[in-house]
Amino acid sequence: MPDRLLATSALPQEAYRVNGMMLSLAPQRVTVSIGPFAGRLGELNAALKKAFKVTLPEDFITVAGPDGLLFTRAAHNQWLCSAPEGTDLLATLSTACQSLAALTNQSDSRVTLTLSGKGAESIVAKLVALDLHPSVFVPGQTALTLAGHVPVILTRHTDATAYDFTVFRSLAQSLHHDIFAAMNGGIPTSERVCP
Amino acid sequence: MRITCPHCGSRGLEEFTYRGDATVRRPAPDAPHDAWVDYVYLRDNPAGLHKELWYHGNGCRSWIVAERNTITHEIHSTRLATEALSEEKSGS
Amino acid sequence: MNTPSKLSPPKRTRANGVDTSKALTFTFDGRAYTAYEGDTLASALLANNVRLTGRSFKYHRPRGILSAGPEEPNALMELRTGARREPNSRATVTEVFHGLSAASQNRWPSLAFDALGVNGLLSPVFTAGFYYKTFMWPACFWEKVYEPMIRNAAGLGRAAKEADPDHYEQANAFCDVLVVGSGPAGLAAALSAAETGARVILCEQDYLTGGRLRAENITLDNKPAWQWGEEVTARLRAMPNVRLMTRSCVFGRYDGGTFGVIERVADHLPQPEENQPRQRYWRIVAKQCVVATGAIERPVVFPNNDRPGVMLAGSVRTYINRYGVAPGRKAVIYTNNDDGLRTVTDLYQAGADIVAIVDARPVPSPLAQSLAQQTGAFLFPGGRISNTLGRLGVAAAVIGNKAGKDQRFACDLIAVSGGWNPDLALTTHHGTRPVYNEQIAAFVPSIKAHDLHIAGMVAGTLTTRDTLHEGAEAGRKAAAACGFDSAGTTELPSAGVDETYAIHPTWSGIDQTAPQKAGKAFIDFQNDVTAKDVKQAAQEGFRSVEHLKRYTTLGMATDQGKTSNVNALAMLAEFTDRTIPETGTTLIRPPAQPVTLGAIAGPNREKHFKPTRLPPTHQWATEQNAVFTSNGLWQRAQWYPRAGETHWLETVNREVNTVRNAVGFCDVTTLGKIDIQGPDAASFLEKLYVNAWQKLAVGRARYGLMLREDGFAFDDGTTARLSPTHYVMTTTTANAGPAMQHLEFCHQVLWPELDVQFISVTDEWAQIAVAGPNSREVIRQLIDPAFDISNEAFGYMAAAEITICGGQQARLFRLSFSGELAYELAVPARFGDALARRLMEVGAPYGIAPYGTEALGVMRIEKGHPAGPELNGQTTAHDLGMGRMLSSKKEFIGKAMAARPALTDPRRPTLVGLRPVVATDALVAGSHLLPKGSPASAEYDQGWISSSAWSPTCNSWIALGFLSEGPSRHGEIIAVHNPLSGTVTEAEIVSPVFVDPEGKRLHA
Ligand SMILES: [Zn+2]
Repeated sequence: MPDRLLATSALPQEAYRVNGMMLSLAPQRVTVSIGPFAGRLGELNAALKKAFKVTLPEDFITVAGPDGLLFTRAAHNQWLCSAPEGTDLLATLSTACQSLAALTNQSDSRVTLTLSGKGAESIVAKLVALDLHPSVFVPGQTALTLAGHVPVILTRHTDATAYDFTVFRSLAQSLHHDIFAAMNGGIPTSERVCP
Repeated sequence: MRITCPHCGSRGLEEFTYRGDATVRRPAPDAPHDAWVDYVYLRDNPAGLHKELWYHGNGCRSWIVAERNTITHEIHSTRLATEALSEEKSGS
Repeated sequence: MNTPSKLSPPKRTRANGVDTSKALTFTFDGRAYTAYEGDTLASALLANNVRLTGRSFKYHRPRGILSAGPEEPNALMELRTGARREPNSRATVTEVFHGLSAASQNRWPSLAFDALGVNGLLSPVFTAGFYYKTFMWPACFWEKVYEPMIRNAAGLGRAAKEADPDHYEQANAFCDVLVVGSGPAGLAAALSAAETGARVILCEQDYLTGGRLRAENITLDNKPAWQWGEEVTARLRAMPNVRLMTRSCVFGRYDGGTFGVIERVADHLPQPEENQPRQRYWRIVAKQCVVATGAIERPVVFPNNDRPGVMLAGSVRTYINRYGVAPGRKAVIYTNNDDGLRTVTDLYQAGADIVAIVDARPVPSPLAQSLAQQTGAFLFPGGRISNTLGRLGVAAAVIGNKAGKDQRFACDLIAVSGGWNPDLALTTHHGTRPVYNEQIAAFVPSIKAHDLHIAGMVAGTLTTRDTLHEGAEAGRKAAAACGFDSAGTTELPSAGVDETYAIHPTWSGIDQTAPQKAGKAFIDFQNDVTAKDVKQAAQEGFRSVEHLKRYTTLGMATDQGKTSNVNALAMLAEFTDRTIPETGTTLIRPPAQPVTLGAIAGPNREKHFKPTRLPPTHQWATEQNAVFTSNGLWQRAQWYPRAGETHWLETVNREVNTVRNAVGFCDVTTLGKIDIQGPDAASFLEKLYVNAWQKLAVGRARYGLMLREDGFAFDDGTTARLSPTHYVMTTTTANAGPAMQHLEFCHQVLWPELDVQFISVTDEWAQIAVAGPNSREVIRQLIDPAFDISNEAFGYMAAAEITICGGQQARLFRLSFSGELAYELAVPARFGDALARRLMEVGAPYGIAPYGTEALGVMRIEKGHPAGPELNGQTTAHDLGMGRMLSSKKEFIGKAMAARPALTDPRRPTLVGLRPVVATDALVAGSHLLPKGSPASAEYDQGWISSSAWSPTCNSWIALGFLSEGPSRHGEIIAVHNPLSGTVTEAEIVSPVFVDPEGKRLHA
């Protein structure tokens, strides 16, 4: 019996710090996509409500269930459910969702880069053409958009000064470079940086 | 240019891909050859309001019917293609 | 600061924009000068009595500073040296920094003595339409004679030859109200909008806010007006809902409230600070915009009006009031309006002699009269300047009185005002034409957009009081349109007595009865276009402004005709006996000011021009010294050279031989993978592919071909059925994105009734092809014992979910692109690197080696598998030899159009194999196929080569190609013509499957 294969990270684990900001790799989570079958969203939500006390959010936000489960809207008719490493999420969801939705493992499809620190918003603004004003892109909100030329799921942390860029694994190094370059370029002088 | 995705809100043009006239309908499989030629090749080129299909590929992956003024580039309305089509089918 | 005292500039008068306690040194044409902080290069040169700043484009005439702003057509410089050297920089907007080196352009050997000044003698060559007329014949002269001559004689500055060492950033910003310009109107607009709580961005291209408040000697609330400007600026900066951007030029207004802005982050520094960008390209999205861009003064056209010392009257005031520099000591003022007369007062107060006031208006002006009396100047009501004299600058003006009698006056400055043109560029970027306003003899914006407001001089409003009120009102309206209503009204300062304007539209001082007498009268200084050129164009029948522009090149220089366009069309109107509105005006395109190409590229240059996708084995492949190639965004290993291999072909041949004789592996993660699930998944595949899918058994895969709706091939790949309702589709690497888009279209638009869900799993799975006669043994070393992969249990095209290496979840497909016994093994992406390393270990006894895309390509050609060069968008299933795959029993995309007779005509070029008669004769993709012995011309052309390779398996060059009636011509010898090398090679038409045509190996 050969040894088990060892996992490799798409990016180095160490955090990058520059200009008072930090770019780090978020802890790996297990992720499964949920695609409700035609006309089954109601039943599916009822089933999820029963199993996890949550329904799939209609807005582009993340809602939390038990045991660290997070549900994020990730396409016009698809959601990503994630859980801490070690969870048998596919099995858990299969039981809960009963053939009401397509479930696909996405754990290795994406990695999440977290940018945090004073001025992070101005760095995000160099890459993302979204209005990031906290009254528009409110803490906890998610957007499917582009960071430069790279498609991302952008999430504003509830503490408002940190952002998650969830990106396809193959593009992670490229995006990391782009964010790091934007961080190096500093905070524009016209920017108001709230402490 | 900005396009308002019914799901995602106002987004830059770079998130979208253009397809073209949203009013053409795929003919039945046994439709006469001319109907297929019309569908595949022939397009009006209106000056003014034009319904067209856009794909929010760098966003939520929705196909969108946008009503755009081809003279001013102003986008008057956007709807999900699925909704626009189901309404059309139900005849409302 | 160790500035030699002899360089000390003349004492400055009191100025609002320079700090005379902070001296700086700069050089111009190698000579050192002193400037102060706040100086532009232009103000510093004037303060140092430097009047001659360059030579003109065509005639190499001496030129000086005309303006004090971005409209400058004359004082264009090369700034900096080496890799940072930048040509055509406007001295009037260049901030001086310590150590700045500036050089004049278009002069040889020196600015004061220019040998090419003789171009003046060649001037008949350079008249209107010279590009079209003079150099028409013979054609070869263009390259050899005319172009080098023009480039030498009439060049602009020299760009740096090295790569730009600086970097550039891009950024996005959003607001309710964007205010462009921070003069009185812009400040009032920003303030009134901001007071409502709206989010405001105020952009000012200058490094100081205030606009004309700094240029004019006026008061607000009995204080110098610029002080009010500074107070408001400070208030705006303190407001949390305001972003104030200086050194930021709004250069374009685009669709949907999007504006392009260049922020000059570091142009005022010797070089950018560490890691800082030189410039930042902003995309600002605003719900509403207030354009308060002010106005640009017009020169008056008169003979020899281009000598250094001829300056716009308003700019003279800017130099006096903002910079404390009087641009001359003995001045003549030439104006057709009251505004120009303000220059008399300001110059007089700055200590200059006012020699004469030439008031072009036919009706005598009481204001001019009293100013003449006050300053002791001669007054010429209804007069004109009929000529100027001087070698390298104005030494005298020839003034004609109302009666036409000329008189000469010594002077060193001629301040001219032909009136003000609203700077309306941003208002026309959407194609809205401005309208002519007779009252102020200028074009003013016509606004149709609901999200655009204008205020101040750009709107044709010329008093300070009205400008302030209009600004505040525009700001309030713009904010209200965003849903912010103001409780109170913005408090505005008192402007005192209103300024008067009283313009009379006189455009030129040319004596039309004897226009040749005096000399060239310039309209466009930067492109050297004269009144005579415009007249000639009119005489030759060019009546449209657009044609005039192209024929004479008027307004087509880097200044885009900011000071010349209106004068030109006024003269065209005069020469063609039409009014100005009848003559019309041109629209202004973005950019309103020059934009550095580097800023447009931003960070997306060189290897970061586009993003890079890395497969899971990238790091491992790097360690193996792989050579990489781009495949779309992906970086893929092209081949893996080994020590001692001297040529890539040696490496590739070795890799092919390894697969054909032992076992090799290749990362194929880059192929698009789409997980498809749902009750209608099979029906959905039936629509997408030309072939049948309903009956594909679970645990099996099938090759599929997709067409476009026009019947041509779109993409291909294998799709496996994992359960009755679950499939995994593969697409080509290049088409992964378009295929996803196609699936979404088919599902959302064409067949929304199909109950199916799909998501990309391209990044989810690291997929590695293991190919070769030993591949089963290698897979056996990895796979957990519970799974039987014998040929009987797991035959060709089998697919299964398995575990490997002691429980690691994986997928195994028995697919072959190489034609050998082969598998594709997929593991979650994080294990891809480990899988490659493990394959090397367990495969070693079986002779395993990795192979790259080049060997992959050779082997697929050997097997006749079509790839990108064959699926080129112009080939049908029939052309690819797959005509029989098209199912007649179901409907699918492209079916109707693929049935068109012309697309199935046997005479269409169809896939064949080609093998040179002499095995070592290279076949080159792109070569044409002709019947043997026929001339190499299009009429005998029967097809082309799409892919070719040296086949180590066949020991020969081989190729795939498309040939008319190809399948029925196997065995024929044909001519392969390569028009690039001019060679003809003979080749035999063969089956496209060169290796193992019976497929024994792949079924082994
Ligand atoms: Zn969307």
